[in-house]
Amino acid sequence: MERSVGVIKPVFDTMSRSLEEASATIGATRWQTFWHVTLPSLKGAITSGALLTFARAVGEFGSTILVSGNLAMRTQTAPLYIFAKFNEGQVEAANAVAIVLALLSFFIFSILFFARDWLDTD
Amino acid sequence: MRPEEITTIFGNNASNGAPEGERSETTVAASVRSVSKKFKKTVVLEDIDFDIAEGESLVLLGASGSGKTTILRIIAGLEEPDTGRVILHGKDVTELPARERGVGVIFQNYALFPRMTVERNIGYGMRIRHRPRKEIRKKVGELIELVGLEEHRKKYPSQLSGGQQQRVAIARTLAYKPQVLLFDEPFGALDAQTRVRLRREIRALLKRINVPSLFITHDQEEALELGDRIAVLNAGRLEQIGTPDEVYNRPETEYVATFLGAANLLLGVVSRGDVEIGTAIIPAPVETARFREGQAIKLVFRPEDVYISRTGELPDGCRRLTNGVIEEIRFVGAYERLTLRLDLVARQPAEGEPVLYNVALAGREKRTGVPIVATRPKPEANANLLTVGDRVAVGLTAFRVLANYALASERAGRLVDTSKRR
Repeated sequence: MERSVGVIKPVFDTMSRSLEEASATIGATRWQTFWHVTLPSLKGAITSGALLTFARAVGEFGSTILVSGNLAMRTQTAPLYIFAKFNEGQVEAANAVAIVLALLSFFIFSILFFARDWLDTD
Repeated sequence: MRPEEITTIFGNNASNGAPEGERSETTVAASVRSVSKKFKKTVVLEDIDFDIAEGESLVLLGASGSGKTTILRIIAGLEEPDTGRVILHGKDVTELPARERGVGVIFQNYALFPRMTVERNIGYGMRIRHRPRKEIRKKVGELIELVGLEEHRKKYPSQLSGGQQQRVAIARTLAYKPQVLLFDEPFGALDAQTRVRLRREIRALLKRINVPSLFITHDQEEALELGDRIAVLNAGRLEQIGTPDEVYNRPETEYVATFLGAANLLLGVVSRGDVEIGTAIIPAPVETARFREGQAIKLVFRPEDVYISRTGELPDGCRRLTNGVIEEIRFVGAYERLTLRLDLVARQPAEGEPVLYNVALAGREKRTGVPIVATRPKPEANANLLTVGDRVAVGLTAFRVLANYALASERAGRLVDTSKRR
């Protein structure tokens, strides 16, 4: 969450108020202005914010184990699984899941990297 | 597009909202009535009062910080006045939010929606009003044709030039038949050549669609060319409203005279129907009629109204000011600019006479005389060559006599609307 805010807020702050004012003079309500003007301009920031938050959530270890424990197939997340298997000496299982996680983070990174133009806010 | 088609697109604005029978009201499209505004403790606008007539384009001219953008924002509903009313087509809209006013604002940076194509930008006003898709498509097509952007309809704002963006911005407001168009420094972001071309295009477009408009600018040339009338704003107060000709040729205040074009100023007094500038006496019975004997005045004249004669002979209608010496000659393209030093010496007061006036011998240098600037068109400059150091007679083909208020407060709240006088 704080990551999303960290990404979206600066974009929001630098956004020109004149777009919203223009929308208002054209006759749009606040909601219409938000939906048609503000939100599309924040699209990139919201997407990268969501991706970063997702990446952070996937890798979360400490708070997961504290809050929801480590029940296999119920509250066990991938990092917890890796930790558990590693402790049990099942390095192969831990590596397999770690590769999945690595691929996932690589995938997210590529989106952020290659879709930069698309994500860029004007 | 033929004019009658344009009228069908935009309807007749004069009938918008104005009640029947108020014939005089229908000619006024928008009025600002004694509007004042403060930001914290700074007075931004003081008792601003003006009308925009139907189909008229009015230019608000002022230096930066004069409050002109605030007036525009108050009319648009983006800012609230502390006191005063805004009336659009006979309806008081002071309390209405921006979106209910039906005013078209062309922002300085155009404020086009970056993620919408030209078509979608123009159609925005109709989409949010939930007009049928067919109608939107038809109207957008007409507007794109009107502003000549047929080839660019699928492009995004970032792919357009400044001038094209501006046309999109205008078309976007025209889509919902605005009561009045407000242009905030519309040519500020463009280079000099594009600026000149665009303002002619816009002027022609506005005359075709006949929508009343208000321009905000600090560029005097732009104001003279765009405005049917010009309102000169200085530090939150209107100094004068009038046609370009009136404001330029008959400025009512020193500020107007010097802000719109160049002007020479000499201090003097009124004496028996003459203007006395030190030892120089100019007969001016008509111009001095509204001043009392002995009143301190300013003689204001434009560089192009100075007539320079080496022989001392002046043409008819040109009044003699005094003699002078040519101090500098500069060729500046279309004309020649000269600096002259006039032989104006403080008149010695007679015994017992109070000293009404002394020529301020300006400048740090101890030379006597008062410098003025004169310009001569090329043919005149070529026909009568002058060189630095020449002694010449100086005459004026036109000038204004203005009261020389010692304190600015003496004329506070005094707006002269020359357009209403006749």
